[in-house]
Amino acid sequence: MTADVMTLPKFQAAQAPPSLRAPLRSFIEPFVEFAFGRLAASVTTAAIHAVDEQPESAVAQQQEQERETENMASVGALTASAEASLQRIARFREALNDALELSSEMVHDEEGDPVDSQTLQYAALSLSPLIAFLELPTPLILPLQNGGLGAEWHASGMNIELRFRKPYDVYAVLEDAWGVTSFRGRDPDLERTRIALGELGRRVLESTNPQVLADLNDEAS
Amino acid sequence: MTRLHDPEDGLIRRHYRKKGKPQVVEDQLTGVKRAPAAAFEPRAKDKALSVNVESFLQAAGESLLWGVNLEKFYAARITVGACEALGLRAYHDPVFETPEAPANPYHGSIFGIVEARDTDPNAYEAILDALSKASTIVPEPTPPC
Repeated sequence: MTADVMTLPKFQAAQAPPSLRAPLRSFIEPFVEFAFGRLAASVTTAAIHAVDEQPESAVAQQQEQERETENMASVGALTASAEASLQRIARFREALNDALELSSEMVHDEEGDPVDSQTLQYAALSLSPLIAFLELPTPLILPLQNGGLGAEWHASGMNIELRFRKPYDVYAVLEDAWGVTSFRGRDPDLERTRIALGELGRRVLESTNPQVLADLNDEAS
Repeated sequence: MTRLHDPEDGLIRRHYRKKGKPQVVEDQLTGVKRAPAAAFEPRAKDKALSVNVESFLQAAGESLLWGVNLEKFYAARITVGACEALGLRAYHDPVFETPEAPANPYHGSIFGIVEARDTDPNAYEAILDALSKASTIVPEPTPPC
């Protein structure tokens, strides 16, 4: 081996191993950008259409002004909704980080296993869209033994407990004091969970703003 | 190791706080505050779920929170009867002092959970559910103002 073989420029800088949180960020952030990028685009498109349409008469002008007022109100509502979604995602991410910190502490004490990164990604990817688009309270996130992760909601008469054991291996406990939704067992694609979380989101929305729900029901009918 | 038979006897299980707060949930069906199922998971290396036995603590005049560092843990209580109803077996299983760990004369072990975990995952999850549902939170002394 010659001396010039091992010269400094031939070495790549050593890369730090990815932390447990790195994949979480890399998965959640593109989703948030995608979801809210689309939302922003739809809002912008609505605004452009409002400007492009030229009124032809006084009546048409008045109608156009009314439409513009409605559009502005819609844009305002969409913006508020997007902000609320971002806040829910931020709180969810904080809860995940807290759970990872607790997991680290448990591993240090030899009281638990580290959270499996693939299970973490699966849980984060599965729950993020639901948390972004449903009016859900921040879940209790806890590390489970053998690398799993638990997510729980206990509110508005519902107990929703998810245990992510591995990707596509999710045990769900869905209980409802009002008897609308009830299930206990494996829910690998969160089909039943989605319904239960939708119902919880509806109840939370109703309890925080009954008029919004009444309006939505009117529009639906 | 002695089998526990009194169904009312309490079994005290400690669980980690998160950011200093006990991870307590309020059951929406009963209104009772309880520990989450995660509190009743044995470690991978365990052969049984570790608890402290209430009757032995009381006989020694100790608090139910004996050995629970409240800065790091909170404590949940289940009963021998709840375990028996699930087909689990509770024992007084004192731990003797070793170079690695101090003695715990009040220690108990619940057998049957690890066996379920290794053979029947759905039964294991059902046991965790039932223990969580049957649990109550051990009250902590109020800090002086």
